Amino acid sequence: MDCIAAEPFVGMLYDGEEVPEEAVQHITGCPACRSRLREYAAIASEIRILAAAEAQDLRPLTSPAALPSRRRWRFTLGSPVRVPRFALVMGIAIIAGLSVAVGYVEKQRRSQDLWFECDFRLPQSQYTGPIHPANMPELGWGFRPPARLLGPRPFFLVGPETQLGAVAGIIDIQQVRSDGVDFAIQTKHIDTGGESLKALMEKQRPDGPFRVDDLRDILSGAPLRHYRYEPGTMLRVPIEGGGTLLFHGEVGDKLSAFSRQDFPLEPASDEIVLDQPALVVEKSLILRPGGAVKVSGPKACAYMYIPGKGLLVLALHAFSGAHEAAVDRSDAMFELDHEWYYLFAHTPIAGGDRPNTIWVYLAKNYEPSQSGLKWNPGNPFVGSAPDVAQVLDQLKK
Amino acid sequence: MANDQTLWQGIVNGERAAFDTLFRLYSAPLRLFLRRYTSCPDAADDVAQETFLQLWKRHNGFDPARGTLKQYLFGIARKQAAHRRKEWPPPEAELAAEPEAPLATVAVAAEERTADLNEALVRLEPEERALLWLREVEGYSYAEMSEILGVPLGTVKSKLFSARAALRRVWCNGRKE
Repeated sequence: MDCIAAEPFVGMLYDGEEVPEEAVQHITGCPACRSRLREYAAIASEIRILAAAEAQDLRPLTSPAALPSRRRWRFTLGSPVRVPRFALVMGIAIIAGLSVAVGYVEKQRRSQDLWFECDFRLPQSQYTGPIHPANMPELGWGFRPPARLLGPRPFFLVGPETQLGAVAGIIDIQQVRSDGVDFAIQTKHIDTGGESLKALMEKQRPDGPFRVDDLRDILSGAPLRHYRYEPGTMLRVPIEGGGTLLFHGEVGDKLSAFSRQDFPLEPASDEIVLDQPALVVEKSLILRPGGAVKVSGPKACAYMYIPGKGLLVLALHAFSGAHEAAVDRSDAMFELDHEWYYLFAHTPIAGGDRPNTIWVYLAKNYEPSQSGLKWNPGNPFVGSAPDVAQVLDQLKK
Repeated sequence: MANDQTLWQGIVNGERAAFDTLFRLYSAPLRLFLRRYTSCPDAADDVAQETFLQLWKRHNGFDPARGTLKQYLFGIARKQAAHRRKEWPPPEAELAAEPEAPLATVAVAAEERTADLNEALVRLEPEERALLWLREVEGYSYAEMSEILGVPLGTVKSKLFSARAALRRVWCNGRKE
């Protein structure tokens, strides 16, 4: 069987319907079909998020049993109304004026708004997303600068290969065109002397959020490299002090709907994956921290900072204070303090038999500053740690 | 929670409490489904009201052996909506507005994604939209969707396939065609 013949079965496989064995074999072994399966999963996740968002906007509807008689509001609203002639002329003039203005603004917007979406990571690093720089042995960071928000951005990468240190850098996107992106990058392996990145950042900027200028001193001596990058290719950027940074990006007129990381459609039984998660609490809160984490190991955990609520910790095994959460592929559902939480992700959250169970714990009132982070407390983030006990210990402090 | 059989029996007996329970349980999901199917919130709410009213005044036709009460409700609402198809506005009128200038890239990514999805869904055929919604939001199987929409199983498969393919073309890969 080839991709064309298997195509109609991809969705059916995703839906859990009966699919010929031959098609299953092709789809599971074919990168293109697996990618399509991943896209269907992402679409499904987005539709569910849309449904949750729309549920918030529903105004209450009166039960027909409570109505004295049939009400047809639409017909009432649609009944003819007398309009003075001058008001009609004014109305037409305003509509015409607005149409021209909207057309002009739209044309301007289209010509300026090319997005450059990139990710850069260390070769073995498997994490991406907004960073939680403290106490994270492994992470990566991707960011997405739109053309109108160009300028230098600081970044840190910490992976198994950075040992006690980290890779720090500044990337300066200068021009974005559909056929190429000009940027400069300065990056260096830094030795934190065993100190956490958090401590290093605090030393540089004890009185406020860490900024790009604070990093310039740290990066002194590292050459500023200029690139004309061809979108879609993989660029290897040498890191001062050793190592290579993998850089990949795409130019488009909008941001990609999908995570660039190849997260598993069938996570292993000891893996937790949060790929572009969205959290809905009692259908009244929608949280989309962006980014993604994948963590494995018997004690591993993922977490999500929810502004105003705290830090939600998710682990594969029960731990003190944790509640059970039912996971079905890329959705999870659980109840905490009499509120229902719905977690949607672009790819399956946990491996093993379905539906399966993970354990969740909400550290109430957690604020990023509590763990020493100079983080805007209004911004959510996701992160992960190899040992849930370490995270719980930090939360107790 | 009352089971379908008890709830239905209560409605047949004219018990207001049973009907209110049914309304409370299913009015929101039904309205969301109809809004997506018709692409018109007013028409959807109107049809939802009509459906519940019909059920309250002329309660017949539900057979627990053929599916759940919710499934039955979705089925008759879908038929009502289809009957009044010419009252729906053209799809262009419901295209989602472009998001405003971004404050944060992550936030705008999510906003754009939602706007794109809305736009892509509006461009689909109503039956395709309905199928996607019933499958992804309500979690119905192909056989159940076939009952609700009153179409053969093969049609469910082919329409769902074409809906996903169209949605993927319009919305996925982060590029406009």
